[in-house]
Amino acid sequence: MGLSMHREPRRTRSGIRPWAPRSALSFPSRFATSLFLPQISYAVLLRSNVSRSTSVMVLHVIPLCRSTYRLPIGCFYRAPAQEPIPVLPLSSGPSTSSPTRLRPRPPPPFAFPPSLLLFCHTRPSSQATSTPAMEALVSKRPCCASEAARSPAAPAAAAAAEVAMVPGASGNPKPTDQLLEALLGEPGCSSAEVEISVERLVESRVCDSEKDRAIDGTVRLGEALLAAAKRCARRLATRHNSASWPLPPDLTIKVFSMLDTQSVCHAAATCSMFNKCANDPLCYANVDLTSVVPKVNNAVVCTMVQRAGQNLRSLKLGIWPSPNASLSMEPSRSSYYTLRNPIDAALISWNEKKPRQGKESSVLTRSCLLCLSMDGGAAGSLLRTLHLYNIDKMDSAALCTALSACQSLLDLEVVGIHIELRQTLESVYTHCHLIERLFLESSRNGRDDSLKSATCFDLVHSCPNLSFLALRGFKLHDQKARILVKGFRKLKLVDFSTSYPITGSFLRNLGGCASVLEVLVLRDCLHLKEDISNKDGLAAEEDWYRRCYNISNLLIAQLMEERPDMCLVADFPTDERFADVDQMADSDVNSEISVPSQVISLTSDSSLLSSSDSSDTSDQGSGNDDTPEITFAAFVDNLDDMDFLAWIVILNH
Amino acid sequence: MSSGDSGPSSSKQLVQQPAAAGRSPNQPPLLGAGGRKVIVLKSGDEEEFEVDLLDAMQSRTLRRAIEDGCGDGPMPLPNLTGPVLAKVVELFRRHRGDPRWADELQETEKEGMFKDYAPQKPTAEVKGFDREFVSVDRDALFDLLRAANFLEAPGLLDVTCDAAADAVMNMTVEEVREYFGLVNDYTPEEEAALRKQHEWAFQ
Repeated sequence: MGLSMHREPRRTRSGIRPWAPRSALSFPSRFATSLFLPQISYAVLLRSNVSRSTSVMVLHVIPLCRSTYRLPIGCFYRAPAQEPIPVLPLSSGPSTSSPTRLRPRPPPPFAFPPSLLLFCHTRPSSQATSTPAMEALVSKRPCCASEAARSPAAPAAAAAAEVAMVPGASGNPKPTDQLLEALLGEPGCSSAEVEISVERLVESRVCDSEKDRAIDGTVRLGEALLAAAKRCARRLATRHNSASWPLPPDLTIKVFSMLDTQSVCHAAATCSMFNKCANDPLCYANVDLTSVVPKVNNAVVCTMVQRAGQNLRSLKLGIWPSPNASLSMEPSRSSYYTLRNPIDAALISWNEKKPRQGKESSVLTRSCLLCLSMDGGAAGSLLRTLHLYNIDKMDSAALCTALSACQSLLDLEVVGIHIELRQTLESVYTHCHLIERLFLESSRNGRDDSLKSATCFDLVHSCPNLSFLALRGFKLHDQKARILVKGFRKLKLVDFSTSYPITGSFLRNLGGCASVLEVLVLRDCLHLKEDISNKDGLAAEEDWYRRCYNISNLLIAQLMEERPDMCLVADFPTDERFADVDQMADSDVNSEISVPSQVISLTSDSSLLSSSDSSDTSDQGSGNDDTPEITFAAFVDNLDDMDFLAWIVILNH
Repeated sequence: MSSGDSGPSSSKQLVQQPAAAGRSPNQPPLLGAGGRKVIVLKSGDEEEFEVDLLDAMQSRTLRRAIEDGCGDGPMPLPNLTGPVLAKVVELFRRHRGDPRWADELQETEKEGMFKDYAPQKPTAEVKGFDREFVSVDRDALFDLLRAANFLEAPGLLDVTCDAAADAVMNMTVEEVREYFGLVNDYTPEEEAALRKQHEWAFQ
C-alpha cells in the first residue's frame, strides 16, 4: 500500500500527467486494452462525428497516448519499427508486490529530565563533594548560576551530557561532568522523588528571597540541561542521518534534481542534511510548479528561479485539470498510454478553476515570468523548456517579455492562455532561434485570426530547427498552414487541430517538401472539405471510387503489408443511440489482419452498425446516399514521398 | 561481443581467471592476453565474479584500478557483498555499449582496446531490465546506491538515483523520514520556518 503510493508519482516527474479522454466511457474497453499492447509502435485514433451534409470530410487523427504531445518526439516517432514504445506493465509488478522493509526506527532522541540533577543534590546520601557545588549553582550564588545558565553553562552542560551519553569519551572530566555522571548513574529517580527533593531544598532556605533564588536557579539549570540535551540529540540525529544515508552530497543533489519542486521542498524539511543538499541550485534546474489547484504565486516562482540561477533549464507553471478519477485507479504507469485530449482538458480547467481563484495569495499574474528577465535575463538565458498552462492573467505582452530573455529556448508550450498568435510567434522568431518544439493552444478556441503570412515566412526562416509544431485552436488558413508545413524542413509533427478554416488544400503536392513528416493531426477541423487524398495529393489516381466505397478491411490489410511498422488503432465512437460499443469492438477486423505483431482495433461508427443491421458490411458502400457512410481509405500507394506519415481518413458521401 | 554473454550471468560459481598467469606484471591485463578479456571481482564475502573486461570498464573506479595494473588477480571489493555485486555485474553486462559511458570510453581508448564497443541506444529490453533492477526493497536499494557511489558507474548511478527519486516523489515529510530512516534534527522553530518558507508545498 505504502509502496504503491510511492510509485504513483512517476508520471509527474517525467512531466506526464494523467490525462483523461473526453469521456473515458466513450472508448470501448477493447480499445483500451489494445493501447497497451507492447508491439504498438504507432497508432492513430479515429474519432468521427461526420455530419450528414455532403462532401464534408472530417479527418480526426489523434496520435495515440499523447506521447506526441508530451514525450520528446524522438522517443516515439523516429524509427518506429526498431524502437517501439516501451510498455510498462499494467499490473503493479514485482516492485509493488514486494513489501517495503523498513529499517527499524532509530532510538528516540536521548533526553533526561532536568530534575535529576536536583534530586542528586538533595539526597542525603549524596557525596559531600558534589553538594557544595550544587548549592553554589542552585542557590548560594544565584547571579553566577543565572549567568551560567545564560551563556557558559549551556555548552558545558551540553558537553557534560554528551560525555554522559558516550561512555569512555571523557578525556579530562570537569566537576560538572562528574556531577552529571553521578546523576545519570543514579537509578530509579522518579519525578515524584525529584519534586520532594526540590521542595526540601527550597524549604531549607531561611528567607523568602533565598527561596526564590533557589527556585530560579533550579528552573534555569533545568532549562539549560534540557536545551543542551536536545541540542545534543539533534547533533546525534544529524550524525545518524549522514551515516545511514548512502549517498554523498553531490549524488543526493543528483537525486533531488530528478524530483519535482514540491518534493524537493518536502525533502528539505526532513532533516538538515537534506536541506543543505536541497539548497543547491542544481536541484532547481527543472522547476515544475504545475498543480491541479492553484498553489503558487509570483513570489514562489521568483524564489525558485532565483535558487536555480544559471542552472535553470526548465520552467513549468500553471494549473492542470484534475485527473480523471477512473484513470487514477489504474496503475500509474498506464498513464503513459492514456489518451490525451488537451483541448477538452483545457476547456474544462478553464471553467473548473474559476471558483478556486478566490485565494489571491496563490494566483499567478502576468508578471510571474518577470524573474526570467531580471538581471539582464540571466535566469532565462539558458532556459530550454517553458511550459505555461491556464494562467488567466497572463497575456501576450508579458509572455513576449519573458521570451525575449529566453535565447536558448528549445521547447515552448503555452496552453489556455490569452495570447495573440502573431505577437507570440513574432517574439519566438525574434528571440528563440533554436526552438525545436512549439506548442500553442489558444484559450479562445478558434477565434484568434491574427496570424499573417509574413509572420509565417519569418518564423520559417528564423527557426529552422523546428520539428514539432502544434497550433491548436487558432484560426489558421490553408495558405499559412502550407507556408509552415512546407517551410520547416525538419518538421516531424504538425498539429493544426480545431482550426476551423482549414480545408485541407494545403496538403496538396506536399510530398517532396514534408519528407520527414511523420504525424499530421487535424483533429476537429470541421471544414476539411478537400479530399486531401485526391489525385494531386496522396492517394493513387485511379483509386478514387474503389477507395471511397470499400470498407476498410482490404485496404487496411494492404496498408499493413506496405507499412508493417505501422500500427493502427481506430475508434469510431457511436452516438448514444448505439451505445454498445464493446460489441462493435468485436468486429472481425482483427481476424483479417494476419500480422501478429501489429494490432488493429476497429470499432465502427453508428452508421455502420445501422446498416449492418440489415445488410452485410460489404454491401454498405453501394451508394445509398441517404445514410451517411463511413469509409476508410488508407493510402498505400502514394506514400513514397511521405515515408513516415500515417494516414487515416474518414469520408462521408 | 558474444564472448561475455555467458560470463557474468552464470558467475555465481567461483571462477579462476584463465589468462592471468601468462601475463607480465607491467603489462596491462587485457592487452595481448588473447581470447577472452575478463577480470575477476571479489566481493567482501569472498564471492568471485568473472566480468568481461569491457563491462567492468563502465565503473570509473574499476577502470582506474585496471589501468593501474590491478586487474591480474581477483580484484577485492570489500565493501560490496556478493548479491549486490552479482546484480551490478549483471547490469554492467546489460549496459554494454550504453552511450552514457561508452562515449567516455571511446575518448580514453588506447590501442584499439574498445574498438568493438560501439555505443548503442538502450533498447526497450535494457530499460525493462533497469526497471526490474531497482524493483527492490529499500535496504537493497541503499546497497545498490552505495555500490554505485563506490564504483562510480554512470549507468548504475542513473538507474539507482532515479529509483531513489521515484521512491521519495510526492511523499510527505514524515514519509520521507520513515522511508529513508532519517531522524528529524531540526528544532521545532527551524522546521516551522522551513515549512513557512515553502508554504505552498505543504498545503
